[in-house]
Parts: sequence; structure tokens; C-alpha cells
Amino acid sequence: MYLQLIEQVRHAIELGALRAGDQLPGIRKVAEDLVMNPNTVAKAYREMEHAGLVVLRHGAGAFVAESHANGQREDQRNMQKGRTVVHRAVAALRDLDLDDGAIRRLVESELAEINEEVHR
Amino acid sequence: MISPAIEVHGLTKSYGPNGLTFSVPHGSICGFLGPNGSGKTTTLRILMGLAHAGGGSASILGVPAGTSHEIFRKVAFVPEVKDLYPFARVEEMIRLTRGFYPNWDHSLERRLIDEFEISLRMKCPKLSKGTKAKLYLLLALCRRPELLVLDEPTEGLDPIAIEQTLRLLVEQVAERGATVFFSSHQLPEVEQVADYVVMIKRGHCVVEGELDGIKQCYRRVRCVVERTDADLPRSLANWRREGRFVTGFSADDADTLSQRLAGTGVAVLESEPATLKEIFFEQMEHA
Repeated sequence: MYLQLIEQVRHAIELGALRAGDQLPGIRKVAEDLVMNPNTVAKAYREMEHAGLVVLRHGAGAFVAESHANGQREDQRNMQKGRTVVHRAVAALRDLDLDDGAIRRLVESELAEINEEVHR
Repeated sequence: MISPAIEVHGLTKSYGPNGLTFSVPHGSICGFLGPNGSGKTTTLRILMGLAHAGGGSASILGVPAGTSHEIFRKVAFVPEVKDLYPFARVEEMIRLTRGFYPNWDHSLERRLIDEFEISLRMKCPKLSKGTKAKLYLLLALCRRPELLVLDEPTEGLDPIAIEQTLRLLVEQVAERGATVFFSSHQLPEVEQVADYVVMIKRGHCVVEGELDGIKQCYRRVRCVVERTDADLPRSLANWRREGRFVTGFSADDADTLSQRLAGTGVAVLESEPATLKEIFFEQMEHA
């Protein structure tokens, strides 16, 4: 349950729905709204703090971390650039008359090879 | 460290608990699980002083069970069988209970009558099963108990009332730091709100601990074997085998398990955290 909560917050930050400095609702409110165990919510908040996703200010609540939001913006820009690269690559592969399945297999085998080299 | 809200040690009775030992941490929502006839209701009755233990010990909020009436200012019990005063109307039932408890939460009483749509003029025996359960919950919660013990609180309720009930239990813990101990057969709802679980079988405890910790020890793993006639490694001896596929539970994640199985002709296909339901069935069938 608490992993789901962390993923949701992470996702909201990535989408820009939550920005640096935004306050997250209190543990009690989250527990009651989502009908979740408050201890589980508290654990999720601690894990998110540990992961640098949020900052817990004693007594004031949990806030989306500055650094992480910046990092996210950087990530978003890189994702945008990546999308352009992939767009061109796919167009070039289609020109070679390769179908979607073949393109997918090529990308996956390339990733697998890179990963193997990294492991060695 | 705060002492546990409930402590049971070696509890035994001619039927039900048979050397049962567990404790419920203060401030937790603890699910009490076990098949019919495993001794859940008897254990709850002993804790509430409604039945005597044959042996062993049981205490609530540090006080041995059945020795003090004072403790019921702090403890509320919602039994499985809800027999209310046969001639009382709902409003009389509430007034009667309210009189015993100086801590009574009047605003919660009004809120719940409204939320549960309980008609005050109804005679108690005429209430539907669901409304009886709601009224019992109201009578227990308005006392603002430190410890709330419930025997299958959502049984016979519709999905909306189940969610209302679970939200109320969560509220008790979130807002007042109460402890909730409830038996249930509804594993998904236990998984939703509990942070601690006690699972019993034939009167003794088979699993006890924080739900997250338990789930980390149970990953459902699916493997494929190279040859169907090959023997399985000893660590997979109890696993279910169908053709080339072998399924079972492991505390190891996929990578660790893959390393352990290297060279045995068994490859890990997938490994996912098990649900409480899967853990329950595994415990009841095999352990």
C-alpha cells in the first residue's frame, strides 16, 4: 500500500501537478481520505523524505523538495530531447521497411547488450 | 517503549485457543485472521472477560483479562452476534449507553446517526443486520475508547457501509492514537487498513508481525525448469509443479533467487509481492 502512495506522489511531481515547495496533505488527512492505515502513510512519508522527494518540516508538514523538482525539470527537458531522437530513429527504421515488432526487438536487444556490457 | 495494547501468552481452552501467543502494538490497526473454528471469537471473548481461559494468560492495556471492570472505560467491544435490548428503541439504546460514559462524544453521535441514516424511533430487534452493526459501532466509537476490539465488524454490510466502517477505524487511530484489534475474513479490507496482522490456525499463531514485513518475506515466484523430469533443488521441494512451470513463495527478490538457483536448471520467470490472500492460503494449506 505505501509503495503505491509513493509512486503516486512521484508521478504527480513528474507530471508537474506537484511543484517544489508545495505542501502535501497531513498524514491524518491522507489516511482518512484514502482509508489507509496512518502508520503506513507515515512510513511512506519517511521513505519519500529518505528518497529526497519531500522535506519534512517538524510540525509544519511535508513539502515537495526543491532539488528533486529541479532534477525533474532537467529530466523533463532530457525526455523531450530523447523523444525527438527516437522519432527520427523510428522514421529511419520504417524507411528500411522494418515493422513495429522488428523495431521493438532491435531496441530491446540493443538495451540488453548495453546492460550486459555494464555488468561485465 | 510503550507496552503492547494486548498481550496473549500460551492461551489455552478446551475449544479454540491452543497455546496461543501474540501481542498487539499500541496505536496499531491489527487484523486477526483465521478460518472458522480456529479460535478467534473465543480468544476475543476471553480478552473481554466474557469467557475464562483454561490456561495461559491474556491482558488488555496491561490489565489481566477478566479482573477489572474499570478497564471498560477504556476498552470497547463490538461482538459478532449483536443482541440488543429487545424492547428498546434506538434512541433509548443510545441514551442508556451514553449515561455510562462521561467521555461520550456527542458530536460524533450526531454525525454517525446522520451518516449511517439510523432512524431513532425504530425498535432495535426490527433493525436490519447492517443497521444493527452500524448502531453497535456508534455505541462503541462514541465512548472514545483507547482500545477497540471488533469481531467481524464488516460482516453483512454493503460496500458503502464497509468503506464507512473502515474509514471510522482509521480515524480512531489517526486522530486519537487508539488501538484497533479486529477479526475478519475479508482479506482485502484487512490489507487495506491494517499495519499489523495476527494469523491463527487450529488455536495457535502461525504468522504475526507488521504487514509490510510479512509481505516482504512472501514473494510469489514463478520459475521454469529446463527438463520436466529433473529433480527440483531442495529449497523448492514444496513448490507447486505443473509441466515445466514451478510456483511458490520466497523471501528473496528475483536477482537473489536467480543467483541461488544458478546451475540447477531452474530459471526465475517472475517474482511479485504476494497479496495477503495468497499468504493466508499458503499458511492454511501447507504450513
